[in-house]
Amino acid sequence: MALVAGPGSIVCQINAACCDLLDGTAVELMGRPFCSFLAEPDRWQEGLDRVFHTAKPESQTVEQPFERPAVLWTFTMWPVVVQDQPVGVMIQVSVSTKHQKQTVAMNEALVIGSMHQHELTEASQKLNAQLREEIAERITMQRALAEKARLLDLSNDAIAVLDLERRIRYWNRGAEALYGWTREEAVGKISHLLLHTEFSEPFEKISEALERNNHWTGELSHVTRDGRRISVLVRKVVDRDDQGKAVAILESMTDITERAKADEALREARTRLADRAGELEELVAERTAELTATNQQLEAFVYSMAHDLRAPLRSMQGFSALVLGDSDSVLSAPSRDFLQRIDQSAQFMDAMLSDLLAFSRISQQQVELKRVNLEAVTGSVLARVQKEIQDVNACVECSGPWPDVLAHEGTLIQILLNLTGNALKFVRPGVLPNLRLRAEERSGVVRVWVEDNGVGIAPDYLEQIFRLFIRLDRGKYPGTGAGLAIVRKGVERMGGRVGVESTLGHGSRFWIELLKYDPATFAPQ
Amino acid sequence: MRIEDPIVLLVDDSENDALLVRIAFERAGSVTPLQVVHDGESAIAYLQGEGEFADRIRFPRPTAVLLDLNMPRQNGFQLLEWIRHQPAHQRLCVYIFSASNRTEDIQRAYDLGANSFLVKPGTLDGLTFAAQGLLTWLKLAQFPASDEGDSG
Repeated sequence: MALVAGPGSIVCQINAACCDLLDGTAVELMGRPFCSFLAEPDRWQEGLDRVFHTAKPESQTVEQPFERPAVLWTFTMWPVVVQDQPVGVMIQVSVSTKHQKQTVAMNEALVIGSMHQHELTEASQKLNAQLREEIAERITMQRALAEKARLLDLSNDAIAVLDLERRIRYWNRGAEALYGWTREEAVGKISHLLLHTEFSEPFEKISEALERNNHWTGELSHVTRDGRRISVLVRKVVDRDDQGKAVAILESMTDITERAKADEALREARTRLADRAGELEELVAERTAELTATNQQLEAFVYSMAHDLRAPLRSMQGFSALVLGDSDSVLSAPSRDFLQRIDQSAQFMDAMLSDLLAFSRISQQQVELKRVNLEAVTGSVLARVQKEIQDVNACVECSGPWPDVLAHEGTLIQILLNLTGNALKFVRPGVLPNLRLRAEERSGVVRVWVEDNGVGIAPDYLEQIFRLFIRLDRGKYPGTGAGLAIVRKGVERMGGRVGVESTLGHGSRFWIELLKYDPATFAPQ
Repeated sequence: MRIEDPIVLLVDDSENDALLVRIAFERAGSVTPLQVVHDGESAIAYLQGEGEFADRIRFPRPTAVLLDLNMPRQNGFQLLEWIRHQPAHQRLCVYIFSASNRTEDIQRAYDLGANSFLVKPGTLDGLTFAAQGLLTWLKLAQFPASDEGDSG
C-alpha cells in the first residue's frame, strides 16, 4: 500500500509489501511519482488523476505479461480528502494469479466496500468536526444569552421568551414575581395554557399580526399561580435570524389590573353621572314648570289686584270731580280743597297701579330678542315726546352711528320713552334744556346714552332711583317714580345693563347696554 | 241706514261705573239715556226682549253694546260668544269696554268677533271723551236694517 500525495501522485508513504512489489526500498521510492515505477506510467497517472480529481475510488486489474502463469496486479485507489479538498490517493496493490481473478474481484468489492466505509468514516469525522464547531458556537451563544438573561432579570417588568410553539423558553424574575410561577415551573410550558390566557382578539389574528408587523400589543387576561385573574398589557416582538426566519417571540407583560379596574370604575361613574344628569334635567323641567305656573299665578294675581283696585279709584275720582264741577253745590274753600286732594290722590293711585301693571308685565312677559333698528326706535320715541320737547323748549341732539341691536322693540321703546321723558321733566329752572341721544359700540354690546343738563342726582342716590316708586323730589315733579324701575327691569330682561353718571346741579348721563346684533351668530327669524 | 239717535246698552256689574258712564254720555250730549244691565243673564234677557225687557219702549233694541269683561258668573267673553251665535244678534255692534289692556284679552275679544276694544278711562273727563267719540261714530256709521223693523 502506498499513499501518494498531490496531483503528481508523489509517494509520501509506502509499506514494506509495496516496496517488495515495486522492487525498491522505501528511501528509493518515497518522494518520487508512483507511476514512474510502473510499466505504462501514463495510463496509471491518468487513473490516479481521475481518482484524485473526481474523489471517486477506482480499481484496475492488469495482467503482467512477463510471467507464467499470468499474474494479475490489482490496483485499488481511493481518494484522500481533507476538509473537502483532495490531497492524495491511497493505492492498494494486490497480486494474484488468473484463477484468483474472482477472488480478486471479490476482494475488490470488499475493498470498494471498505472504501465506502472509509468515506463514511470520513464523513462522520467531518460531521463530528462540524458538530464540535456548532456545539462551541452554541455554548458561546448560550453564554451570551445567559448574560442577557442576567440583564433581563434586573428588569421589574415581566419578560418571557417563547419558541414558535409558544413554549416558554425564558422566564425572568419579573415574570416570576407577577405570575408566581418560578422559572423552573414555567420553562417548557405552553404559555397560554399555563396562564389560562383570555384573548381579547382571536389567537390567529394575533399570530397574523406578528407575522406581518413583527409585533403586537394588546390587553390580555391571565390567571396567576394563586388563582387571581389579572388584566395584562402584553407586547410581543418576533426575534428573527439573519435569514429573516422567526426564531422566538419576546413578550413583555405589565399588570394593568388596577388600571382596568379604574377604567371600569370610570365607566360606572360616567353611567351614574349620566343617570344623575338625566334626573337633574327632569328635576329642572319640573321646577321650571312649577316656576312658570307660579309666574303665571303671580301675573294673574298682580293683574287682578291692579284691576280690582282701579275700580274704586274710578269712583273716587269720578264722583269727586262731579261734586267739584257741580256749580250748584255750595262748597267751602277747604271742602273744595279736600275734594281736590281726593281727586288727585285717586288719579295718582290709578297711575301707580297702571305703572305697577306695566312693571309686572315687563317682569313676566316672554321677551323674544330680535334685530332692532336703533335709529328707527329713537326717531319713534322722539316723535312721541314732541309735545314735551316743545313745552320746555328743549334742544335735542340725536347723533349716529346707530348699530343694530338684539332687543325687544316694544320694551326698548318704553325704556327710551321713560328716559327721555325724565330728561325733559327734571330740567334745571332757568336753563335751556339740552338732550342728547347717542350710541357707542363696546365689544359686543351697544351702549345708548341719554344725556341731559338737568338737575342731576347726588351720588348717595344713584342706586336708589332705580327702585320702584322711589321719588327723590316728591313735591316738585309729577310721576309715580316707577319710570327708572321699569327701565332697569326691561333692560335686564333683554340681557343688558343700566347705569347713570351724574353731578348734582349739572345734569345726568343715563346709559343702557344692549346686545349688539351680530348676523353671524344669530339666525334671523 | 244711519241712526240719528243711537241707543247704547252698557253691560257692567259695577254700579259706580255704570253711574259714571251714564253721566259721561249725558255730558257727551246723548239724546237717549244709557241702558244698563249688570250681568250676562240680564243682557241676554234684554236682547231677547224677555221678561221686564219685553217693553221695547222703555227698553229699546240697542245700536251698540258696551261690554265689560270682568263680571262674575258669566263673563264678557261668554256673553260675546253667545251674541255672535244668535242669528238675531250676530250683526250687533259689540264694543268691549274693559279696564284690562292685556294683549291676550284684546286678541281674544277680536277673535270672538268684537267690533272694537276700549280701555275704560280712569277719570270722568276721560269717560266723557270716550262717550263723545262713540256717539259721533254711531251717528256716522251705516247699520244693517233690522228684521224687526224697530230702531232708535
